[in-house]
Amino acid sequence: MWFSPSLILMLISIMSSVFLILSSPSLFISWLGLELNTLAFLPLMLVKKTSMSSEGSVKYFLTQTLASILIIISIVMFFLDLNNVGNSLLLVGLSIKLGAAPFHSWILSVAETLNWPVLFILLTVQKINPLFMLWNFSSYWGNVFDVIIIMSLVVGSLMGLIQTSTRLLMTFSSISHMGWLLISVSFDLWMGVLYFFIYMVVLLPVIMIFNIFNISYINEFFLMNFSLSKQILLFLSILSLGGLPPFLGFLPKWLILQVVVSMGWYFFSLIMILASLFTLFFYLRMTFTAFILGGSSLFETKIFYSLGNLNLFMLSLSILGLPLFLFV
Amino acid sequence: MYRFLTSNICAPSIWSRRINFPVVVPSSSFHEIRKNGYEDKNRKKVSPRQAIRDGLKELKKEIKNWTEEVKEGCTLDPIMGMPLPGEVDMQWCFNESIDFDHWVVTSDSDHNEGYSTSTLSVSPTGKGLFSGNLSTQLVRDGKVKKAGYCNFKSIRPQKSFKRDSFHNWSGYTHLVMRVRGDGRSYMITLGTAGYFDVNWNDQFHFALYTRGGPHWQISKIPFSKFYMTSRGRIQDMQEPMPLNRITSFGITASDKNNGPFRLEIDYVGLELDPSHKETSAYEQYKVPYFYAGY
Repeated sequence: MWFSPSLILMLISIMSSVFLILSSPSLFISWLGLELNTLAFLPLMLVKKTSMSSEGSVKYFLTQTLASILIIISIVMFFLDLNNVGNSLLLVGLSIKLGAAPFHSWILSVAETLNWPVLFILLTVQKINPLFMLWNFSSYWGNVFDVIIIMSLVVGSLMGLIQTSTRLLMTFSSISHMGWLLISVSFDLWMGVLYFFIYMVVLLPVIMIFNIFNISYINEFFLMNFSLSKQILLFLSILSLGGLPPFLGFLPKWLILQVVVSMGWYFFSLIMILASLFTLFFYLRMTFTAFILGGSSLFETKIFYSLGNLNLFMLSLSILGLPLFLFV
Repeated sequence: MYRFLTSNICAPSIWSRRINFPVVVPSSSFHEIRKNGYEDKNRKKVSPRQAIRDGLKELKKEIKNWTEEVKEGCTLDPIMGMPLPGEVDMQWCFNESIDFDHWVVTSDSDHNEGYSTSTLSVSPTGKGLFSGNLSTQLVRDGKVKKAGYCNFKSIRPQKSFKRDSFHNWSGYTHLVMRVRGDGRSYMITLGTAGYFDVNWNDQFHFALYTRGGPHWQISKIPFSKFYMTSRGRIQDMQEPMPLNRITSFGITASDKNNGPFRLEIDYVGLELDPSHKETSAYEQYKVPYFYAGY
């Protein structure tokens, strides 16, 4: 089904759902956009017809439907003038849609069943709609929102320490980034947009390379047979994803941290810094594992791949793009 | 009302389809119906009070298991558990200290469907021995059409509080077995029960060909060669084995030859061979778009 007309229809439907939500005048139309998004994403998950992908798609459908039911009930609560109940249900529904902790279990079991391009869409494009809706209602939530942010940061960073599957590592890093995104969205939409686009730019080349070489576990890095100088670019890009200066991934974290500290939210800033240290540790561990296990050549590699221009451009952007702060 | 409907209206349609398990699960049942296997007719009915007492006896042990799991999760470095190329990581070692509670041995005579017998014991050389007598003779009850199988398999691993778990063999490429057979062919079965009941009976099979004779053989079988079946029927759409979700390992003797069989097993292990890139040896052709079922 790859590059078939059906796939293009699904991708256009997902983009349409994003535009629908961005331009929706009411919560009901936004819910319609969320449903269209779920509907169009399911065939993408089923490109490879295996029992694992079927299982992942059913789990995805059930959890997203539950979240949509909560959102519809919250709409009814708003209609009945029960705003507190409606706000709580809306927050829970959108958090389930996002895969934010403590509602993150589904995204882990679904991520294991996906191929890399579809996983990239799940971790990036599928977050746009709920994040935009959260931004619209961010002033109405109090402590529950803060709990979700802190749990996402902590769970995403600590649980990633015991993983060896690269898919789960990327998913846990996404949950941790989700905490940062939720904070940025509660301050200013443009900060959230900037964080989101930088996250996409840095994540894309990493996932493209994992897809080309079919890397599923961190002990498979030595199987990547392209030149070592470009492998270093890949691992520097992974560290950029972890927010290490002087790479591009540090820029959004720097901006958000600056705003959080200037607002006097010191506890939040402490949690954010600690969580980013843990995430950086497991990115570093990926890098060390690759270089330590890849030292010895186990077999002669006669085929030597070269990365495409797009890959190289995006890798260099994620490493050298920090001066973009001059334009922010 | 619900029980009345399910027992009196739905039940006749179930009987006509010759389904032995309740298709509509009663809402008061806690345990999920297995949807395969045989019903335990000798199962004793325990009163709820006795069941609670039995459960509380095991509570202390399960809490201890849970704390050990949490400690292991916090202290274990996952890198140390990663497979290294060329090394064989032993999963099961068959010697004089085999725990027979971890293995289930079955044959067709267990439920009066045949006359085969089998045992799992310790061989005179101190290794595991799967032996018995295979018989394809049919039982004259009018129901059995085929007979003659003997099988032993591992029980499903469990975490604390009796939660079903999996063997995580991700990262490995080959199954390695050191065996000494009798020249017969056996079937290796790897259970890969899924989350939903549609996939509970999914298994992967491959043949174990033995040489016989006094010498041991090391069989190294790639996981990509295993083919998928569901309830014994080979599936049209094959797929790579989900190595992170293995539920059981078993060996079956059912090669339609009457007579005694004898398979000595030293160990069952796993190996990572980096030069093996194949994920599935079957169904590799690509069909054009819009073909039904693909």
